[in-house]
Amino acid sequence: MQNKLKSFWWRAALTAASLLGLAGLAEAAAGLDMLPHGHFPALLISVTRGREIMDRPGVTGYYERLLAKDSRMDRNYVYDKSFLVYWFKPHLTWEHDHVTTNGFGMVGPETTLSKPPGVRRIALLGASISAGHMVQADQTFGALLERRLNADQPDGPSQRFEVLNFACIAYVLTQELDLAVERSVPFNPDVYLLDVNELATYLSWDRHLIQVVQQGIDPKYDFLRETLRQSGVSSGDDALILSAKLAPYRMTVLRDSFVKLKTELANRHTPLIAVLVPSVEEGELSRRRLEGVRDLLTSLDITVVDLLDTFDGILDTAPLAVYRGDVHPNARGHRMLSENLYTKLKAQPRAWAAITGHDSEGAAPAP
Amino acid sequence: MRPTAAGATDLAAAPAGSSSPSAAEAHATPDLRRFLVLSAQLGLLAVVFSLFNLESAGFGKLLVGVFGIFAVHYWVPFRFKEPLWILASMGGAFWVLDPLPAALVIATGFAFFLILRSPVALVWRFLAIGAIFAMLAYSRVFTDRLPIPPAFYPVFGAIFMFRIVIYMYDLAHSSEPAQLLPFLSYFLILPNFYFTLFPIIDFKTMRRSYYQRDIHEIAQQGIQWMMRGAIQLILYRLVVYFKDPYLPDRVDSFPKLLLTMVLTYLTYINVSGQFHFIVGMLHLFGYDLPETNHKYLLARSFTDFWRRANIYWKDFMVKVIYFPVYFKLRKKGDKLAQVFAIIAVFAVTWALHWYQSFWLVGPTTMSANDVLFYTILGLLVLINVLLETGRKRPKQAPTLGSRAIHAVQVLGVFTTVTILWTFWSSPSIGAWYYLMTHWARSHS
Repeated sequence: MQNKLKSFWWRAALTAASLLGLAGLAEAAAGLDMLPHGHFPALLISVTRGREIMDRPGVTGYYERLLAKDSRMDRNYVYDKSFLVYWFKPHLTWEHDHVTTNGFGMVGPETTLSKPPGVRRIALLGASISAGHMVQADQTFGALLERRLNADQPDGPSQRFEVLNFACIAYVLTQELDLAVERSVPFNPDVYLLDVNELATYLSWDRHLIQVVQQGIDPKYDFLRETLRQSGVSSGDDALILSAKLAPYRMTVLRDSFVKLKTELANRHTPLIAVLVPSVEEGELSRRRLEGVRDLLTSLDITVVDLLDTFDGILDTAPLAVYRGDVHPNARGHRMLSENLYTKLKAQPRAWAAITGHDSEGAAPAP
Repeated sequence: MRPTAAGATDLAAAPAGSSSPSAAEAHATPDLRRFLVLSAQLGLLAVVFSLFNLESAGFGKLLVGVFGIFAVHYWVPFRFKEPLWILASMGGAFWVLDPLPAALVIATGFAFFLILRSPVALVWRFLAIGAIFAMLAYSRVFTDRLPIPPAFYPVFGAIFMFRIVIYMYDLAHSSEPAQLLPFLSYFLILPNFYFTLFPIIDFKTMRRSYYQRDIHEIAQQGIQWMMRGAIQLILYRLVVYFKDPYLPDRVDSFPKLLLTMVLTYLTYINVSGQFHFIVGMLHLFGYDLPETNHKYLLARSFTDFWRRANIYWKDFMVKVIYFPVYFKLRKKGDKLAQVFAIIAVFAVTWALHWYQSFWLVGPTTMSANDVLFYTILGLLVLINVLLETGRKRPKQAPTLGSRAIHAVQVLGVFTTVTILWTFWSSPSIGAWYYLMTHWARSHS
């Protein structure tokens, strides 16, 4: 028997059978998902078939560092040692990523600094998904929301809506805070939509702070100064060490950023809506990674619109991504996000009132 | 780890060591039925890779290239097989890399060969190679000083940083001069242009194993290892998925800590999976290389772990560090020689891991965790070796008691290596301490 198992033909047959079994397993996810207890195994199979998780495995070991990918896109940004660290160049046409910006460096069409009469401005703060990484500017969920609001005319034909997209690739919460406090103010927005995603709150939450420390930029906000002091970071630390030193302060920084954002906007009587935005990933990763953030926002009495169910029930998310293995939604994914956002905004009176400027009875909402 | 005498190496062009050229040629005799069976399995393997999306764009190219070359290589006469593999590998370099880094790596390889083949004294040849490494290291640090694309350095490092040491070691112990075909087939191999983390293949083993068995047996073994590699790469995704929820500040209970630690250790299957795949690929072309990793999770002692995980690294260290140090000191006592040889092995292992980081990702600081990890692992192996020395275990049929002891030993090694691996994977001692104690502080 031992010799038989070692023979070429037996080994080839066993290998071929194993490979066929693996191929069958890969195809079994959809069928398993239909079974009463099949969702979890189906989800695990979909995870083994997805490449997205490999982009940022979140493991800091020796071999992961050797195998990590490094990407640089410097030429598309303005760097000026300010707190934001970088933003899109004005009048940018970045063909590879389909990013086009207006004269203010915002994704989307040209706009004016002063708000035209009869226009209600919605400021969108976010990162690459909101900025429409590899999606045309007019196909982003922000642009689609603007179009839908103007088509539905919830405040009558005399009012138009304008979504100003301040999002920029790889921005995290501390940068979004600064957009709200500084950069967006001259445009006088009426309401803020804050894209809360896993980049801003999970593996890369500290990305901006690391850049601030490494480049010797003033942390600007007292709570950040205090956090950096307590964590003992120094500009001589490498990114991995900085990340390790900041790790214990993740939830504190998230909380303080939300509080600061809410306070600043409340002082300007401008409502804030936090939108939980999923990435296109197998295994419900966005939901797992954003665990706790929704509760945090609710505890701070910030209006939350949860879009994390947008891609639920889809085991193979690749057709919704800009390319297989990437976490950014394509035009179809943005359409789904936009439809879900619009539906949920309408279903939540407080959020809808903030968007339209009137509650369901037509009265202006309290700030 | 008791050494045996190291023999001289044949660097001549004849591509078989223990197996004579005629025997090797006989082992390459084609057989249509077996070829079709091998090809069908490779086709299935490609389907599995596609279904599980294991391939990135570059990997897809590599897979198509390797499987395509195999289909031709299998049928060409024996004397053309190795030249074809070398030419295809060099051509493939331009397929998986941008033209400039590919050309520079190949040109550097030829420059190294010309230096090593030159008639000047060995020491001058080695100094010249060292000078080129020093110049490129300088350029790696100050990237704007030389017009070399950044993509060059990791591939150059992956190909030459370790294997050139083995090659020069064997050259120094050989009566033959450097030969072009063996040199090129050792360094410029297609998978290495894609995989920068590459097993440190031994030159002598590679030459000796070339068509040492029937090609169908060798290739079948390779396909099995490629499948094993694929399964490990698939499982790695699950390891990352289950580890994903546990950022250090989320490890707030002891079970979560245990899970995080075990999963951190299990991330090594990414490396062993890649290594199985790489060596499996080389089997398709007649290189009957040994296994790179062998059931390391079941190691029953620390020396056993050292022998099973990344076996090629262990062999590399034994050849270029352990044996030379041991034989140098043997006259002063066997035990003393072993102690110093093991200390040297782990000191060099640590230094070379830093050196590997330098070439693959760029200048990096030395971490205290690295130093402590190799110090502790080295000490454990040393103690193990000293305890094992002179102790002869009579072969006995396994009993329930001996099986239980075996299980406890495996569990003990697994637990210790898991703790050590978590420590090694932490960015700093402080980060490790935070990870290990956060759960306790969360409950206080």
